Amino acid sequence: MIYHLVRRNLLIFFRDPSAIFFSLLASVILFVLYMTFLSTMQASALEQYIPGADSGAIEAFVDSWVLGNVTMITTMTTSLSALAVFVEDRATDRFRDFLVSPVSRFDVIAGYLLGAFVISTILSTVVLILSQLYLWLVDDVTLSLPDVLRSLLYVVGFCLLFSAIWSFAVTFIRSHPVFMSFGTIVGTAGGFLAAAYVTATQLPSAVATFINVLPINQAATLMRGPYTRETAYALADGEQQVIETINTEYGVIPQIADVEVSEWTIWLVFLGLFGLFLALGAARIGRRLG
Amino acid sequence: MAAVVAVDGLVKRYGSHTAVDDLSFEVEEGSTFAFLGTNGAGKSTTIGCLTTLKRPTSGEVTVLGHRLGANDRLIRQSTGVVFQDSLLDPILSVRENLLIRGSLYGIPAKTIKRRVEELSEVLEVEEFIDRRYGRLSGGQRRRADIVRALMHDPQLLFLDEPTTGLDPDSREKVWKTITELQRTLGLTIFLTTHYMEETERADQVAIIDHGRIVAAGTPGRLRAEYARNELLLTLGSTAAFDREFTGELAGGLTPGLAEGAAARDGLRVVLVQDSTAALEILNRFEPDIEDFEFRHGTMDDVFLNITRGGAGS
Repeated sequence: MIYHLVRRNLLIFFRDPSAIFFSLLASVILFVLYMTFLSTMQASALEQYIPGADSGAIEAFVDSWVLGNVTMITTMTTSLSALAVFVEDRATDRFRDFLVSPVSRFDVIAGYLLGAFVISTILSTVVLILSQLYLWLVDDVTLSLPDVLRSLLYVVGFCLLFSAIWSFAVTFIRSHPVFMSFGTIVGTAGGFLAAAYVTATQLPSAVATFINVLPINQAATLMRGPYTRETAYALADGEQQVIETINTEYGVIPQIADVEVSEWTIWLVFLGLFGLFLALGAARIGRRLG
Repeated sequence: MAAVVAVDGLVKRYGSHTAVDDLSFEVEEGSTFAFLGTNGAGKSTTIGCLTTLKRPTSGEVTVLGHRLGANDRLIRQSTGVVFQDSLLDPILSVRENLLIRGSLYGIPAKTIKRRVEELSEVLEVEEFIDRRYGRLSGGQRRRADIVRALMHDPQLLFLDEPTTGLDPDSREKVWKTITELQRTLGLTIFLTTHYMEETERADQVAIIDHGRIVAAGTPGRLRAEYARNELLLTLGSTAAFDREFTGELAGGLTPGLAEGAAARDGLRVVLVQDSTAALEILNRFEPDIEDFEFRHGTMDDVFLNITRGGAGS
């Protein structure tokens, strides 16, 4: 049953090209902004940090850093967009047709959640692949296999987490226009909250602390790890201290508020958030079903 | 015949509002049962309860021998529902919709495909089966909805206002389909409508008003009880007629031939039992008659008589 419901939700989402486009819009905007002027800003900042650094290495680092952010933001925006199917079903009360079938409420809820997870994982994986191609073609950088696999695992983990969080959030949304506006806000604010437009260290410390409490920047921090590991090494010419400076400046070290923590701590927090929002979301979707 | 639906004292309240108030009725196997009422009379709420979508506040309901509230899954497995509003996915084709909704009943994929073929032929859905549901006309959608409701070969079909919003031609088509299905598949049909004339086609009619059944029976019996046949006469001279009908009715006429007479808009109106009585009156006053009209009592009359305070009187 769940399989058929997930298949239906996928079919509906992928049948609508505008839904796919809008779910990727925030990532596209971030990418375009960097390509046009933000990367030049970062590059000149880096030239001051690391005098005499190779300009190719600087560009490669900035590109990999941006693309790590883009991939992470994709996991966040696509898992939200995928829940458009739920919002639409709710606005038209289409649930009723499922509820007169011998399908349990649990199946219907699981159908939406799994649908969102599968859709976001597919789209984010495509973005992950495209980002690797870009790095390879433009910067001649290839991530090591373990780093690629790690990014892929992160994609899966983040899609699970965000699908759960959004499944709770969308139960407060009654109509499609409101959902679209919410999506726009998430897409725009997401870039800032992930410290992708401006690095956290460039922000006032109170703001930086706030951003570091949110799972968005924590997810971005994790994703930037495998993306920039090699380019940072090349940029620092292997000097450990320089690498550490870069990692601190560019938000590659996991933090909760202003306390440095291990990656595992972040994952434990994510696991807790996932469980919490999954339970809340499932309960609220169940109630919306009537 | 066995009762396919048995409802005893069904009540559904929303806060202080009572949408359905102590309903009791039975639907016989293989029959067409029509629930007639104005908008907001409680028809859809009743269907909502019977189809397991809404939980009754109180009352006993069995559908196909399964108790509501205890065996809901079994009820869903053996009943089909056509909703008032279209609930298939507009962005998918009719075929995709049918295959997906059919798969929710745990039917093997092959059987579902065969079923889609069979039903789409019967309901003439083939010509637009690969078009997007959202692009279909109202009548086409409704036919697709009926196919969807029949995917799992149910014994009982609920139709909530299946013809509302359709043009007369599509309405006729939907009705033809319903009657055809009932005849060929032996389906029991439970439908709601606010079109009085449609209930003429049902075996049993229950009229619901403010959540209560105010009259029930076969259309014939309801008409006999709540509607009168009228004979309208345009007379050259009313003298003979008026003489006959003044004071005690049916003075020289066969007793019981006419049940009343009145003058209305320059016409003389006689309430008669049937067409034989009308013929006798026509013969009697033939020299004076310039024009006449015989009007059968309709379900409209039944409904208006009942809901305008004639119920039980």
